[in-house]
Amino acid sequence: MANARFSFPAAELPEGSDSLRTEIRDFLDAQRKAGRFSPHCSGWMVFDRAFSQLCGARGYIGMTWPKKYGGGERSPLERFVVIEELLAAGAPVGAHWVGDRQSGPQILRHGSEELREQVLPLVTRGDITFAIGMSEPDAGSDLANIRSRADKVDGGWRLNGRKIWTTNGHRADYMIGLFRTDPRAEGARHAGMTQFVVPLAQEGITRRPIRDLLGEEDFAEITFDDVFLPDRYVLGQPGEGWALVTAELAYERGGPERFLSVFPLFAETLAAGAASGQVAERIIGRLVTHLVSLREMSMSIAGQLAKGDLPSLEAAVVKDLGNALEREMPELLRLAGMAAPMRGADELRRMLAEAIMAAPSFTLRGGTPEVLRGIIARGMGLR
Amino acid sequence: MNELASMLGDAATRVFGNAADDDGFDSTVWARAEEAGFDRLLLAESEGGAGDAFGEAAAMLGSFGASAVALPLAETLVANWCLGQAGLEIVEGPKSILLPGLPPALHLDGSRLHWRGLLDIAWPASNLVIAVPEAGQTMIGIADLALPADIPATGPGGEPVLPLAEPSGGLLLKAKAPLSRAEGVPLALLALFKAAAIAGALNRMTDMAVDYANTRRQFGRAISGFQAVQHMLAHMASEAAATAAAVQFASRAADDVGLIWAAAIAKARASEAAGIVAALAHQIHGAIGFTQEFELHRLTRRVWSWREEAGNEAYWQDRIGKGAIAAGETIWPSMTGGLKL
Repeated sequence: MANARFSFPAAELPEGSDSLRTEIRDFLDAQRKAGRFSPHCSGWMVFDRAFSQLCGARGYIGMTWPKKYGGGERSPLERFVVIEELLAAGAPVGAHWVGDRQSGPQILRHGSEELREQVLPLVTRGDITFAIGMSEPDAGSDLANIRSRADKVDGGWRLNGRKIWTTNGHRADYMIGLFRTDPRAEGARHAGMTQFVVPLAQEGITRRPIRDLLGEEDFAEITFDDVFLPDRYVLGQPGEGWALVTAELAYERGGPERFLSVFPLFAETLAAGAASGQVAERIIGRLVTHLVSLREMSMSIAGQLAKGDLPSLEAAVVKDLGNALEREMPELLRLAGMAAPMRGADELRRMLAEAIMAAPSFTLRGGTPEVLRGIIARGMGLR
Repeated sequence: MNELASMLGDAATRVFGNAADDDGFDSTVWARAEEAGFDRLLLAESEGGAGDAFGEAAAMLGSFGASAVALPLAETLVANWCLGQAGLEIVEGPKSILLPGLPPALHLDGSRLHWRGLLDIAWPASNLVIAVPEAGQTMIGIADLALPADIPATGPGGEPVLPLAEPSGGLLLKAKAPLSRAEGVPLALLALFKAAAIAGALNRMTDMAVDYANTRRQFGRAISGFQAVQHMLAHMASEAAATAAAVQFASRAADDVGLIWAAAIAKARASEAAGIVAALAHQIHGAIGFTQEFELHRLTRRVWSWREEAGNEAYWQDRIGKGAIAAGETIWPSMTGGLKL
């Protein structure tokens, strides 16, 4: 039966999905056994250029894009099969994740042919990394409060400002950045912004990695000081940046990485036989029911994307529920698995420690519950 | 949702939508349900049913749940399916049902059913259908139930419950025959249908809460203008959506093993969501929602009963968890392909 306000129709995995799944499972098993990677929670944030190039060579990047740009012209549901296998295995796909998930599709939809030809084949090969240029020191949840400017000059634009919390900002080749191109107008706070593709290795751009509480340097601050950007890097039309960024966020939010980030720890807890007894059974069982329900919803979103829809409301629901599950998983697994979190110890205890420490970021990255619930409420006609 | 499911959902809304407000068995509405063939939906096509139309039946139960009617529809559906599968006569009328897997344990000795202590029989009807393991298979049986003038107990949902002690010599089955399906299927079906009813009720509760919040004015504005209230409503809607997704997942099960696994997930998820959404619904509605004159109580009281029946969340989480722990390092393929519970 249908929920009248959200639409999560059942998605049928297409013919050939089983053999695709077997193929990628065999690939990942072989890579793991060869010591090529060890499972990581949030593997989609783990940067490994060589592994991304391996994925690219096997056609796992840009799966749904036109072949002329190096894509596979496959269905979003086939892509769903591949990405959930990569995530469940904890594979290090961070160097290409953003490009595959949102930057590439954004350029495909809103970039000029010249830009598409310039950039997309490099993404599909796993050769380049994209960063998301949205947040600024004064613009986190309130993205419309951005201050970074792009001023029109002859043949292009001049960029000035700062982006912060930019995942892989210090390692990325390009960024899709939201810049203010018209002064803020009273009562029109979503107007006057434009999205640009910005090559990051150039004069005037300074990048400083930021150390997080785990001691990792996964995100960065980027400063733009009179950076010239030719016109061909504009996405869509100047001034329509807000509409573009909203659509991009729908791509960013509804995927299985929003509830599978801690799955490698879950799997390791079970593989290590660390969970036993009735308390553990109930905890583990409950987590399974949540994972399976969320998978059904996320697969539905992939099915809707396959039909050409952009279910941004449903994506917000999946991210909100998924992130809540990811937040509580380390807290529950420490009780079910009876393992003390400890880095530099065995795999299970390391993963537990890192999941506990990384957990606050799950509900900060890509849209907080506070913002997502507002989006859901608006979709319910409450605002 | 396929066409039959959609039609059944609509038909159920028409049959149950205008049901009376009270608890207790409403024979008029039951007669309408029988006339529409709802209780016989899972019989073989040659018997006027739609065969193993479990997903379609779930769609019907969803509309039933949204109407907050109190009737033994799920029980009778499953009872009739069991009778049909075992080749026993499908007697008319509502039925109570006893299924294996839930305490107390049932023990069959020839045609006599034995148990220890009291069996809580919800919706006691003159016909009681039983599924009970015997010598490696599942036996379906049917017994006459003597109904006292007064049924002493009720669940929160208002369903009458008869605590039954074993009659002297055991309860006599008037007919019995083996079920040639997996042992866990009858309970899985009842669990799926209860989950579907919960899903429908949670959606209806959410709709009511949205309407109320948009209408009720305090501090100079509709209470839906407050962020705290908006977040509560978003939370309700998300839990209801996850429940519906879990039921949908179970509605697509391809075989008996898949059905048992998926129904376990659906019932656990639905039972867990029921308490959360009911609590939020009452919180949004304030004092008026706590009265009998306002309609919210029918929905919340039903789900407080339905979440317990056919195994509550703890029951199914324990089973799923046991299976997941046993799967060990094969947990991911087990989750994507289905676990044998």
